[in-house]
Amino acid sequence: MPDAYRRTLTRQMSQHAHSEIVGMLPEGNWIGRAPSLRRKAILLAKVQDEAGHGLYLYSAAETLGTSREEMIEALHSGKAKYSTIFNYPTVTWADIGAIGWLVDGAAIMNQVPLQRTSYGPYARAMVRVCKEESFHQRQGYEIMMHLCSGTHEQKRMAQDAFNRWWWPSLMMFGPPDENSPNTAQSMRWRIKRETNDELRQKFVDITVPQAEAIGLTIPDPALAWNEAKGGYDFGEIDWEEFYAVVRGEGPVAKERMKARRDAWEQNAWVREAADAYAAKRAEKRRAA
Amino acid sequence: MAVELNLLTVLPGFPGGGPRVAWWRGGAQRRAWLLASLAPSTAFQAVPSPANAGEDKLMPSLPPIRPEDEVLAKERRGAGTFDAPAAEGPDPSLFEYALRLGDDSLILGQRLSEWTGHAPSVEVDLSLANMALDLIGQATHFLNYAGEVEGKARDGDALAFHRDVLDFRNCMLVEQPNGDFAQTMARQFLFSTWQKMLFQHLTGSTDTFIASVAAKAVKEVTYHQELAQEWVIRLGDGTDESRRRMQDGLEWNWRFVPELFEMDELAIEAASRGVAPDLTAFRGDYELAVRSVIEEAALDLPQSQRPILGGRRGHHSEHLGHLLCTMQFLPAPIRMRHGSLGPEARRGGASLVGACKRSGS
Amino acid sequence: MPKDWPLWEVFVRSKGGLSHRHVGSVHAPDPEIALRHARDTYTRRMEGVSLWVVPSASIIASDPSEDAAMFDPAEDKIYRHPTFYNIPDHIKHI
Repeated sequence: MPDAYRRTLTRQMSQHAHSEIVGMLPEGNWIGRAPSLRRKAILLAKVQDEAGHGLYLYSAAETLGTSREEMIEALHSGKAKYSTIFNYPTVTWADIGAIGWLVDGAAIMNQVPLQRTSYGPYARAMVRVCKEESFHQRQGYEIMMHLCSGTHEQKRMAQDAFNRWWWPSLMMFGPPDENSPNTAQSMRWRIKRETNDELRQKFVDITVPQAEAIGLTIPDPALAWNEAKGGYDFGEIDWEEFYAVVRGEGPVAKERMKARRDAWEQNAWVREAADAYAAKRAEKRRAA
Repeated sequence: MAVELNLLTVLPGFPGGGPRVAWWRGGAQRRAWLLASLAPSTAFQAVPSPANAGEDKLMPSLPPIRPEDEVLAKERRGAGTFDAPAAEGPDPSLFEYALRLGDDSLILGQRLSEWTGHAPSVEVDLSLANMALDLIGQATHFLNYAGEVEGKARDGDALAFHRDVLDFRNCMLVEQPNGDFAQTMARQFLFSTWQKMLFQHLTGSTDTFIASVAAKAVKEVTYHQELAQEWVIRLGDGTDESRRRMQDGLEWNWRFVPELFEMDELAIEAASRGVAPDLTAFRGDYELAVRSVIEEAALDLPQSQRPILGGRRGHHSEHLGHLLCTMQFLPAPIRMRHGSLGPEARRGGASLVGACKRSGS
Repeated sequence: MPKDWPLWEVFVRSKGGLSHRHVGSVHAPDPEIALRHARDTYTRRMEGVSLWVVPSASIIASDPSEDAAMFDPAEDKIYRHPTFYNIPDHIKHI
C-alpha cells in the first residue's frame, strides 16, 4: 500500500470517526430534555448509534496501523479535524429536528458513495453506518414536520432552526471543487467518488422540496429553479465563515473540545483501574 | 444491610388510630409481612434496636404475635410469594404500584443518559446508553399501564412530564446524582441486583401485564446487573484511586438500600393481592449477593447508616427536583400556558397530553 | 498521557448454522468486558446469536509481501476442481 494512500485514508477515516464522536455532543445536549418518552428513546438510540459509528470507523482506521489512542490524541491537541458543523450550538428542540434532517441528510449523501470506496475495511464500516443511519434523517424530518404543524411558537422555532442550519449544512460538502486540495487525488484513488460541488447540488435539489412541503422558507433569496440544468441555483456560500469554523472559531468549538478532553482525561483512572485489575488477575493465574 | 429497617419510627402516623387500626387488625398475614420486613438482617451485622422500637409500645392496639402467625410468616418467606388468593374488587393500589415500577426505571434511565458523550471510553458510552434505553422502555410500559389503570386519560407521557416531585414514586436510590463512574456503578449495582430479583418474582404476578413486562425486562436487568457487578469488582480491586472512589460510591448510596425492601401499606396491599412479591422474601438473597461482590472487589462493607425513606410516598431527595427541571423542560411551558395550578392541568386531561405531544413530537 | 485499553477483534454469528464473521474491533481491559463491549457495539440491532472476541495481538496474519509464495502455487492445480473432469452428459448423479 503506498504511503500517501495510507496517510490520506487514515486522515479521512479518523476525521470521520472524530466527527461521529464530537457529533454526539450537540444532540446529547437534548436527550435529557426530549419532550416525550418516545422522543427520548429515539434520540438516545441515535446518539448511541453515533458512538457506534465512531467506533466502527476508528476500528477500520486502526487496521492501517494508527492506534485509536494516537487518533484521539491528535483530536484533543487540535491537530486532527472533525466536521465543523458540530461547532454550532443546539439552542432549541427544533435544532434536533434540523440536525437529523439536514446534517444527517448531508452526511448520508457524503457517505453513500463511500460504501464503494477502495479500502475494504472503510467500505464495510460505511455499509453498516449507512444502513443504521437510515432512520436518523427520517426522525429529524418528522420532528420538523410536527413543529411546522403546531402552534405559532413551534413554527417559529422550526423556521429559526432551519435558518441557522441551512448554510452550515451546505458547507458540510467541503470547499468548492476548484478550491479543494484533496479532492482530485482522492477521486483518483477512488477514496472519494463524487466531487464536493456535485454532492452539494444534489443535496439542495432534494432538500428544497422537502422544506417547501412543510411550509419552511429557504433562507436564500437567490434560490431559483434552473430549468436548463434541471436543478436549483443557489446563493454564494460564506466561505469566510466556513474557514473560520475550520480554524476552530465556531461558536461552541471550545465547549466541544473541552467536553471530549474532560471525558478522556477525567476518566483516565477508570481505564487505568481496569488495566490494573487485568494485570493482577494475569499475575494470579501465573502464580497458580 | 447493615442497617435495621425501622419504619415505625420513621413514618409519621404509622399506624394511626381510627380506621387504619381496624385495617391492621384485619390482616395477621399483613402484619407478619411487616414484621418480617422489619426483622434485622442476618447477613450483615445489625445495629441494636432503639429501646423504644418494641412492637408493643408502637402498636399498642394490636394483639401480640401468635405462634401460628410466626409460622405463617416463616412459611411465606420460604414458600414463594404468589400463593396468596387474589383479593376481590377493584385494586386501588395497582395504579400506585405501577407508578413505582415505572418511576424507578424512568428516573434511572434519565440519570444514565446524562453520561452520553462523556463516558470513560466510546465502548462504555454504548453500554451506558444501552442500559438507559432498556430502562426508558420499561418506564414507557409501566407508566402507560399506570395511566390505563387510573382511567383518567393520562398516558405515560402525561405521567412522566406533568407530575411534580410529590407525585413521583421512585425509590431515592435511582435519583442520586451520577457522581463519578464509580458512584454511578455503585448505584447501578445496588439497584439492578434488586430490580433483577424483583422482576424475577414479578414474572409470576397475578397481574398479567406486569408479569409480561417483567418477563421481558428481567433479561435486560440481568445484563445490567452483571455489567455493574463486573465494574464494581474492577474498580474495587483496581488501583488505590479506583478503590477509594468505589468505596465512596458505595458509601454514598448505601443509606438508600433499605427503602428497596420497605413493606409499607401499599407494598403489603400489592403483595396480598399477588400483584407484587413480598420484598422480604428476597432480602436475604440480596444481602448475600451484594456482600459476595463487595468481598470479591476487596471493598469494605459500608458501616450501617440510618435508612433514608420517603421516595415511595413522594418525599424525595433534593436531587429529584433538578432532574425534573431538566426532564420536564419542554412540556413545562405548555403546562404553564394551560395553567399548571388549575384542576384541569392537575388532572392532566386529554388536551394537556395533546399539547405536550404537539410541542414534543 | 492517558492510555487506552488493548484491542480485540470481534466475530459475530448472525444466526445458528452460520460461521462467525469478523465485524470489527473494540478496546477493552479484559475478556469479559471485551465481550460486553462487543455486544453493546456490534449487536444493537439483533445482528447476532453468538460472539467471539480475540486479542488482536494474537492474530497471526500472512505477510502481504509473500502473497505470491503463499497463494500463487494453488493457481495451476486445476485438477482439484470438479469441472476439470469430462463425464458424458447421460451419466447421472455424479
